[in-house]
Amino acid sequence: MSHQQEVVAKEKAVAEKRANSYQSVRPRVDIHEDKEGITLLADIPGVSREALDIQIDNEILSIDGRVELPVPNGAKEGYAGNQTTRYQRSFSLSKELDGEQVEATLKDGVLALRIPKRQEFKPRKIEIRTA
Amino acid sequence: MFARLNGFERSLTDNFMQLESEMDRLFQAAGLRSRHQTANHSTQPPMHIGSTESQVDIYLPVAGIDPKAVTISLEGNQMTISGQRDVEKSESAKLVKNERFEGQFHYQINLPDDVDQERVEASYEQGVLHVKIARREAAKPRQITIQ
Repeated sequence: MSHQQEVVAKEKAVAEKRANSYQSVRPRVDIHEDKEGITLLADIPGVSREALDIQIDNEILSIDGRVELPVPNGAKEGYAGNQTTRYQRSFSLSKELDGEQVEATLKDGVLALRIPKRQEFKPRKIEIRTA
Repeated sequence: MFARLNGFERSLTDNFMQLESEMDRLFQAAGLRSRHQTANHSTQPPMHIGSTESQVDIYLPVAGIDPKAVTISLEGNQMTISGQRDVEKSESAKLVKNERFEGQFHYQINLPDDVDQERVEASYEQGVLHVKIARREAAKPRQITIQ
């Protein structure tokens, strides 16, 4: 193989790799804590509900979402839409939190997870009985 | 958040991150530990720009914004996208982690010279701003005069 052929083959391999690869992004989050539980807000623009996977296993909460951009007709290899972004991040949940009762909503690329505290950790108001 | 993109190259931050990881690899290959640990992951999703013969597409990830608060302008081949992002606040809750971007953003992108000023479309879906700019050359039938 001549030097030039080698270069061409190498460039082709790089282009193919790029088309199949994704850029891993650790999404930025805000966590709000109140008496009843926590609200986690994560920025994952471009991820649809179908491409989002949220799991809780052994008190580890993991978020994994992929962005698939549409590719217009006539686009060549290496077109922007061929590149994908993958958001990945995990959190360890405090024992106070109830991983069974998580509520998730996704709007405009913002994932909101509401995780309540376990009943025994919620503040209780003690009623004083009148004698 | 400020990024200036030149043509179709990746953003400067991307290049910088690549350089950092490249340096880390060199240090490791030489049996040396890099003095600072660079993050393997980016926290800012990249802007994607793609072009075909008939159009240029810009995909800008900006989650949770009001599309009305975004200004897109095209002057010559320079596109400017700017806007404001407000992040929801709560009085009763304590903010234990605060990483999400808040405030103004501004992007300046150099486009090919043949973009059509009149045919620019923008949409906002799933937190991604998509700006589609048509290119003139493909739309216009080329006339060849025989001399």
